[in-house]
Amino acid sequence: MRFKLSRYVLISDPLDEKDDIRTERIVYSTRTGKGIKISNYAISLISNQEFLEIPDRLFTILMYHEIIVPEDEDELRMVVNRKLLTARDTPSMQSSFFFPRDHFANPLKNDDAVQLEKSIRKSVVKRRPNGSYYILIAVEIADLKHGLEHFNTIWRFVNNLDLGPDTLISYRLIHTASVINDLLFCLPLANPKFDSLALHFSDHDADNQNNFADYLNTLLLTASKLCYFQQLQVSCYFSLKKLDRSVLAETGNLMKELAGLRNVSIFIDLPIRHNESAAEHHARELTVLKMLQQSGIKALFLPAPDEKFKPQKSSPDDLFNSSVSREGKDLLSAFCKSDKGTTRSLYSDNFAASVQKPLSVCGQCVYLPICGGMELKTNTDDCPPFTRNFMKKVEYMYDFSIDNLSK
Amino acid sequence: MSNQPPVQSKFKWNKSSLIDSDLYIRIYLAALNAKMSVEDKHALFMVSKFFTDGAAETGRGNFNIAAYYFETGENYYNRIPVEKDVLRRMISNVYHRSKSFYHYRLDDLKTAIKLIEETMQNSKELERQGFEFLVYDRAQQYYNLARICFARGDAERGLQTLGSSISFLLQGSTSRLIDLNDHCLTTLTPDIRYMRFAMLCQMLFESLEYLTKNNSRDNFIAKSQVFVSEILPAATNMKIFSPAEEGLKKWLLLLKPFYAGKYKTFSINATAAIKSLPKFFGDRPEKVMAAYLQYALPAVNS
Repeated sequence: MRFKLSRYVLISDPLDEKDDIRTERIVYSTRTGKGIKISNYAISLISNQEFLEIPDRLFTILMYHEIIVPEDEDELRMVVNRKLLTARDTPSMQSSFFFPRDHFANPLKNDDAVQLEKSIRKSVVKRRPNGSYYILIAVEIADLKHGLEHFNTIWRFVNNLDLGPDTLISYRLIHTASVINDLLFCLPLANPKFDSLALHFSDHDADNQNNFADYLNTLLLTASKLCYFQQLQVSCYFSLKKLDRSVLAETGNLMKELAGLRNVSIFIDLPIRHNESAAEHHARELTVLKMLQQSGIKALFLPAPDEKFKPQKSSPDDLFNSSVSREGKDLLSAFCKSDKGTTRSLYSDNFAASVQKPLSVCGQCVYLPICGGMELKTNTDDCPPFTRNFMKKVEYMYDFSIDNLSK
Repeated sequence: MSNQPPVQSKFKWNKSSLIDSDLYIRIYLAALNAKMSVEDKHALFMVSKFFTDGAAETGRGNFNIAAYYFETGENYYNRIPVEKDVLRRMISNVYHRSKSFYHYRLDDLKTAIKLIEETMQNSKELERQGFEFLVYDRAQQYYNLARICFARGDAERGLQTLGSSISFLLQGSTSRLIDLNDHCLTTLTPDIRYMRFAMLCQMLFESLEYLTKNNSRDNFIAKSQVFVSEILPAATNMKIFSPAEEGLKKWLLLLKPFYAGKYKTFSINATAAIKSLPKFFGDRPEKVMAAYLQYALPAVNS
């Protein structure tokens, strides 16, 4: 059996200045989202296809990370097939229902209710053969007081549908406005009706009435209470245009503390500023990464490698028909430019076919497995921001990884 | 309660749970190194990966992608020349067990059993060709068979099977699963002894924990009686090579009065001894013993 180096592999810059044969680099596979720190020498063995020289242990790691793959494997096909089949398999992805903010009247109109009931019933999916049923209800709210009322209306509505005793209903509350001063008092934490909480903050949002430090302070007061409720998962998506040295001086400790809580994770996006060139943006992002790294803040910059979706705009009508991703408006949308009002559809046969056409931009892209791709793409201008400085982000995350495989 | 909360996958991005310096892998690799070329080893790793991936996806209930992995792996397997008998058998070893899990999960128990039987036949042949330690692998296959018995509603047979394969691990032979007695293992290296012990504890305590969690007192006593019927006599014959093994032996012997209906004696002995036993297998033995003491309590008090 013959092998090859996967085309979905990226290699970091040398991790020390000597850059001799012992110097290490991170070799990272976008197919698996896994990386390993190995020496220049080991890398040269892989690139020269001298697989017989690679020790067993390293070989198996490289193989499990899918850095080495069978020589005759059509990798694009493998990646696409896996996404197609996993999308078909994974019920939580087909069984999510997303309520965008301000989309439904509160209380629900009768027509809406009828339509909703139909769609939700359709979205409930069997988890296992002979097993339970599952649906995730994701509700986006802005203003917390009214939002929670809205959430409760939906909660009662869904619970009254009587989806059967074997149906596990999971709720996710998504808070997208930047005002959270009332959060501390409003969130029913002791007995929350939701299982996960997603908070979006952007410092360039027109709604924004807080600065980032105030937001973090309030959040932290809430969040430190949150850690008593370990079953509640909290994801914070920060879209920060203004983040620089002075903002970090003010907020660094707060972010560090927040990121250190067990049930909280932080995702950061650094959007391009007005009048900023691409090169300037790259450079700024690198500087910020370095600062965050030095401050010891654990944040995520890359989407989870098991994302099976492609971002796609959809009309409000689709909300009834297409089920939406398991996370509602989650990770990927936080990393995609068009993050407002987007939903994501499943990896479809049509999309799979379009990606596999010879001229498809995404079909040739090394980030496809992690990004999912986009339909009818002709250039890389609107690629998700996580692809910028990609290996630097990998290095950053590697610094915080729990176990280091190269040891 | 969402399926894969982002927080849990936080910083797991570079972890691979399948690879660590696990003892089994070390023993396995040592045997491979002695019997196989590097080229064949690599082929074994790669083709097996498709099957273990298939099993992992099966575990998550993703049957479409699991089937795809199995099919891909089968294609590679079929292209390996028949002359490479050991390589083919080593791959089959992984294949049959993984695929049997797949059929088990899809409720096709007949095929699942057939594949487990094939795994054991195949194991036996490999044991003769220098992979003697695979006999423990075979013992573990009975664990899978027991699960199938449970799935079929035949709990008694499942518990018996489990008990017999555990008693084989305890004393090196069993009166029920005599097929296991047919093996080529003559000398036990410390590594192999340690592996056997780890496996033994895993199977024993997993079963007991399961029994204590899901049963009323009467139910527990009736069911666990079947389970330990071969284990307790085997514990008496168990040969001791390490303090941990001594701990396990003493722990098992503490249960004897319990099953003889002498709950008071059991309570007194177990309460006195449990803290001073040589440590083994973390805090799980102590927890299971605490559950036993709870079960004994009504009889002690009356």
